[in-house]
Amino acid sequence: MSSNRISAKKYKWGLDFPVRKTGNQDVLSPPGFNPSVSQSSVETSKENDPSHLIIKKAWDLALAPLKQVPMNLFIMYMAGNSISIFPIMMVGMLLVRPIKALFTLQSTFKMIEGHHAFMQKFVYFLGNIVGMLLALYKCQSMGLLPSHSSDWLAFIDPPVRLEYSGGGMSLI
Amino acid sequence: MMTKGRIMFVLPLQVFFIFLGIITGSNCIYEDQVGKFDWHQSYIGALKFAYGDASGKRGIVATESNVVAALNLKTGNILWRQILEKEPLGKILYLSPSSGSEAVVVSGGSKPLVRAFDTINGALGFEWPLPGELNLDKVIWAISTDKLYAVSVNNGVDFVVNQFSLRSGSQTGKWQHNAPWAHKSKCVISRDLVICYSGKEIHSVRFSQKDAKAFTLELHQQIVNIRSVKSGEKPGVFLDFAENGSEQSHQVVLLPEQGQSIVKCKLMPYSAHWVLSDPNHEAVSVVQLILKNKVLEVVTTDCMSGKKIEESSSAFPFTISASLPQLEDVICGSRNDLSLCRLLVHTEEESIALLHSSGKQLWVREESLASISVVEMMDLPVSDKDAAIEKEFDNKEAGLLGMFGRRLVSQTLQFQQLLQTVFGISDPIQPAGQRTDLVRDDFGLHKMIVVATKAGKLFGLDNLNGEIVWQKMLTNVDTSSMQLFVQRTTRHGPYPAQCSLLLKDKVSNESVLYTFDPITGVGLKKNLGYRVLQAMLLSVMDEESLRPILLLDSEEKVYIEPQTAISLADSFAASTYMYVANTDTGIMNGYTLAQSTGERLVASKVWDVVFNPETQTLVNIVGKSPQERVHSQGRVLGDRSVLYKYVNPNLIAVVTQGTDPLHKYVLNVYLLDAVSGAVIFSISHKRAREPIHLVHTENWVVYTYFSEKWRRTEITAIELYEGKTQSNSGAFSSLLSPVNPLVERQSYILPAMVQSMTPTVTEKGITSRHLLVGLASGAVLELPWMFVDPRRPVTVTPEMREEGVIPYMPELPIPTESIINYNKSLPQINGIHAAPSGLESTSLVLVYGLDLFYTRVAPSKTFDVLKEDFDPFLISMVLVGLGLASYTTKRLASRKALKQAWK
Repeated sequence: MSSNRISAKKYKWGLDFPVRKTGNQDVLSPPGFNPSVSQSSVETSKENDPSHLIIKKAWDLALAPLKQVPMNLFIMYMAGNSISIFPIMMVGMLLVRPIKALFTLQSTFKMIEGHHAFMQKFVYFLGNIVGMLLALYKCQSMGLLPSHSSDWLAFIDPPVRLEYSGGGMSLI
Repeated sequence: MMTKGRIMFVLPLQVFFIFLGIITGSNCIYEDQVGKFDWHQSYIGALKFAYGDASGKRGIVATESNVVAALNLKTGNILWRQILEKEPLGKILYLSPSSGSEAVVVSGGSKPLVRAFDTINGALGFEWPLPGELNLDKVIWAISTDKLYAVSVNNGVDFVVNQFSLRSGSQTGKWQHNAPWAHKSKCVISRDLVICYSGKEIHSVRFSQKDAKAFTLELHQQIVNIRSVKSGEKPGVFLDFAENGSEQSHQVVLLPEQGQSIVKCKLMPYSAHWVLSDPNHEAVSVVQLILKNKVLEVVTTDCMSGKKIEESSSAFPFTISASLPQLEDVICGSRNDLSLCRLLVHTEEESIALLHSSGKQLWVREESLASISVVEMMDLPVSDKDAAIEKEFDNKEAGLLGMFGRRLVSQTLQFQQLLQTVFGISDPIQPAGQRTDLVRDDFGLHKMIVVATKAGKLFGLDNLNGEIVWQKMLTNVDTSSMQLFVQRTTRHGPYPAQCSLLLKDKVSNESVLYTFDPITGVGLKKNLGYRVLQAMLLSVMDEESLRPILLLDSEEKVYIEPQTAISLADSFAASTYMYVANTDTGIMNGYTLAQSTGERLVASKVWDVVFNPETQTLVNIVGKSPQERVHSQGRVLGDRSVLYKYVNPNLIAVVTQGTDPLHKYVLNVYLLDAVSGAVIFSISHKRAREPIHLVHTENWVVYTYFSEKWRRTEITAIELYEGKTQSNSGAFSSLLSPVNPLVERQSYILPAMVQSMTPTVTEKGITSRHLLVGLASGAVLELPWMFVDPRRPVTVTPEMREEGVIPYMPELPIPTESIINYNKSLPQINGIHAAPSGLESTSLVLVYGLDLFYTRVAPSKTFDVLKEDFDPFLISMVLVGLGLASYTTKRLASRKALKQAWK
């Protein structure tokens, strides 16, 4: 009864090869082999496996933006500060990717669950912010940000004239 | 090997120039664009001497503008034109036909030149200088049988005759005649007689003979004026007698050849006259012109009988002048048929006309356009339709119902007009003499050029083709100091535009204000009754959108025109300042109106600057244009910081020419604040002298001068900056702002002589500015400001390269592509006027001088206009086609999908 129960538990799933069916069913275990021991240990790990995987996967997801940072730094270094089509495209990518990610935050967060969720969400958010800041830093060093007074020069209104004068050479 | 080396050397230079061409944008036009945006009119100037040549096809003229030309008598066009040197060298003293087919011209100052031009093609036949010194004030010239005579009259003593061979220029004789009665202003030469008057007598001597005797003729009336008879075989004079009561009388006296008698005939009072004599010496007829009530009468009388010859007399309306024209020549062709004579006349207004004796006006040349002194370009008014729409939105207090009603009315009107245009019903009849096409266009490129000339004539020219739209003669005015004010532009409907021209009365010297509508020329002359020292437009508009004129008179009293604006002027008096510079004393005075009361405007002196006339003379004062707009308040440096411009609207540039024992000529330029009188900056150039041309706009001053030391024209640019911070970005006050701006300056060599210089002007001041430089060679150069930029560095740093300034090169290039008048050389350029158009990119330019040249320039290329090859039709067709195609393919695809599904 108990062995039956154990065997029922043991085989959560199995493949019944016909050889096995037709062949000797009651082959004894080799000496020293205690099936219950290994079974029980596997049992415990199997108990925790799905949630662990989920957390692991979620961490992977949360850390992905941060993992890209060194790569991005390398790309930024290689792209240089000159303004031409490729550096602009690269900077565009750098900037657009985190922004896109931030916009699709809700759908991404649906994939994250478990008791680390808040931490992971925060890390993911932080990673994207870091990516964006990097891109902005690149824009700044390329001179694409309107951070100088010269960038706002065209919007300065001419000063109002307080005094009016006129005249010239004597007409007499 | 040598050539290879040279090519290697030349290549970088070429690359550099190509680079320059790219960054500055070549402004030249294509061959098929010639005359598309520009027009050119040639003039000759006010007539001085004229005669019709023997063929009867050409009129040979010499003018005050030192021009000798031939006019086609059929059309009035210039056949050829020779422009002599500037005064005094080119001043024409005498013009006469030689015995061949040449026109002999004597011109010059102390040493006159004698030149002969072929009348057919204007080619120079010979040229020689008169040997020896002559006092030209005393000389009367004459040509007789291949000899040139210079008769110099010693007043009250005698006259000395110098005889020269016309071809070789050698002096062939010199003798004198005793003539105690001779006086230069009272003597003329007719044929080979010197004829003088004194009191009631006329005396004549045959000067070409050494020992000729004087002949005296006693007349019965006091003579006041004498003119010689230039035509016919007989020598003679026209005499004006002293007025007897109100009656003036004239007489023509033809002096006798041997064995003939004196011919005397009376002439009509107040007439211009000419003698026609038959080849057979018998009949003498006189052509007389009389102007009565704008009708010109041509009366030909037989001298002997005094009878009027009806066949060659006529009367016709004469509109080109208000006063009697002067007869220059009567050209009768070969058959001497009196009824076929043409009369070459010129008027006080400097127009030249050819009249037919039968009473036709063959052509008129408006030569006063060769002496323009002030120019203004005015927008045209909006069309009636647009005006109705404007009116609809104009009145906002009408309430909902009223607005709705007006909307209905205006839309019915629009609908009516639409129907009219669709069914080809013509517009309601326009008032006669008014052109219908003088309305504002979409881009504001069609304007009215208003010019005032030195002859006192005002013109309105259509800027698209140079046609004269209206003209107005101002009589009895002194035009030495004219000022034109635009009081109201055409943007303030329903009020018409208004301009005022400030002049002086010829007799009383008091100021005269002519206020007129610049679109029609209709106006009113007003004698102000005081002498205006200086005038300016008030900065604000009254309730009729009119800017009043402030006038400061010689006693420092302030007046305002119109006088109803006095309360308005009073409310702005505290912020209004005026300055006047006196060239004689070298004193500049600044006045404020702050002490005005509601009833009376008072000018009180607040500052004066003295330029000691013993050491320097005031040459020129250039302020900024009151309409000027500066879009960019600073300049971006290489490190992306801003250098703010010092844009002081009250800044004036004063140029003085000093004399110095060591350096001979010293040129001083002072930058003065007209409100506070503070000298912001001054600079002096040693051994630099006139001609000085100065341009003052935005935050920079550019001037050209002649460097005596290097004997070349140099151009200096001064730029003023406030620094990296703006002290007050909201308002500018001359009294409060920091006085010491940063000054950048640089000089360049301009390898040409400058005649005139002006900056381009655009509506909002966004487009970069170019300098338009009129050169003595007749070219008008469009010089980008970039080239005279004082920040052009000698050693190029990466930062400077970032800023985009060109490295310094002492000599400025004159590329032929940037000559805006391409191959149409403009002699004697007097000035250039640039005006904004409705397009921000485009500036309209009128170059005036002897010729008129109009064009438009786009300093930053036409960035606001579609390219000429842009084809909206093609593009819309392609779009429609693509739309149709996509729609049909969609239908076809759905049909196919349905069929597929049924299979």
